[in-house]
Amino acid sequence: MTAFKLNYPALALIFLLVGSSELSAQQPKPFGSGTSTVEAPQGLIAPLLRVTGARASSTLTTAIHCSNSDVVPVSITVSYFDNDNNYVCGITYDELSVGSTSTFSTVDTAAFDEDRVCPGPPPVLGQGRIEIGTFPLNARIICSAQVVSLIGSTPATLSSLDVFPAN
Amino acid sequence: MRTLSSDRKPALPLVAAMMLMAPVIGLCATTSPELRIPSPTKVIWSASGVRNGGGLTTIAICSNRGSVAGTIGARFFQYNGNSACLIGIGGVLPGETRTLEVGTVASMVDGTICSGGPAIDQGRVEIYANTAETLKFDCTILLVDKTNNPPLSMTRLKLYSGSGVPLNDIIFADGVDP
Repeated sequence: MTAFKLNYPALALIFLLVGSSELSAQQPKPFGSGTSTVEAPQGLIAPLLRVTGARASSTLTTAIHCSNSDVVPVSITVSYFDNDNNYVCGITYDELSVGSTSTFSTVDTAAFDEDRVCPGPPPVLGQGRIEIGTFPLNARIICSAQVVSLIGSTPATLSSLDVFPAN
Repeated sequence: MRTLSSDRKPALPLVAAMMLMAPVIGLCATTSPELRIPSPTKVIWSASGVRNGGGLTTIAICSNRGSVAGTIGARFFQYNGNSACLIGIGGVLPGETRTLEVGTVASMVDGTICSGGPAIDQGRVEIYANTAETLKFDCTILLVDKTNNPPLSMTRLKLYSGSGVPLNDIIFADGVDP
């Protein structure tokens, strides 16, 4: 699975010379820099976390909240797939700072303040799954997921979904 | 919907690191008078998706399942990593349960509440306790309707260890047992 054989002493030397932040800054951006959308990330970013039971309709959506528990900024991409495993939408937050939280959804809701939503017409998921990936890979993030009513600041429906490790 | 990056003012990593490393007592200007978290402490649980706004707020309910009395505390963070509130309760005896709330909740009682009920949209929470080896707390963190009793909305946030390990993946023998 690993495409390259890692040379850990060399990596450690590079890390010491340039520092972790500088090293991260020199990595090619894996996601659409400066935008709220990405091209289909399948095959590009290995998922770190998975959620099943994602729903998006005229009344419900699925919100993902992720916080950066790592020691460096982390880019987070959330990808929605329908019941036939078709890629529906991908949303990215580039370089979420340490300790910060971002909320993703297929569409805006009254209950939350979303930071990123799927572009274009609201997608339909009936029902599907979500993959959450990070860059750097395997970064330390914590996430929660809820199916939530689109309307109502006190939503009539609010139910958490389990967040599974991808591996 | 919040606007994109122009609306976000991420805290400097250095500032965030200093906040995490600073002593717990007296760090936050919005702390409640009842704050009594002794040092040293450790983060035993964390969760993402904390909300206090619109019709929702967030509460943490923790039970002492250890064998000694201890302190339980919660620090709630804004979306940008800034501390919104720090509250704590000391002298929690084995078997006792305490509730820590960002804002008041009509359907719950006996909670310790953040002073001023700061708006959070959305953030995270860290649950603190003393470092005594025999002190352990089970916690449930809920996103809940503020005003209705019974609540129209209530759900549990995914729980992680203080170092970010999902609850189901915690290997208790590795020292991350809360």
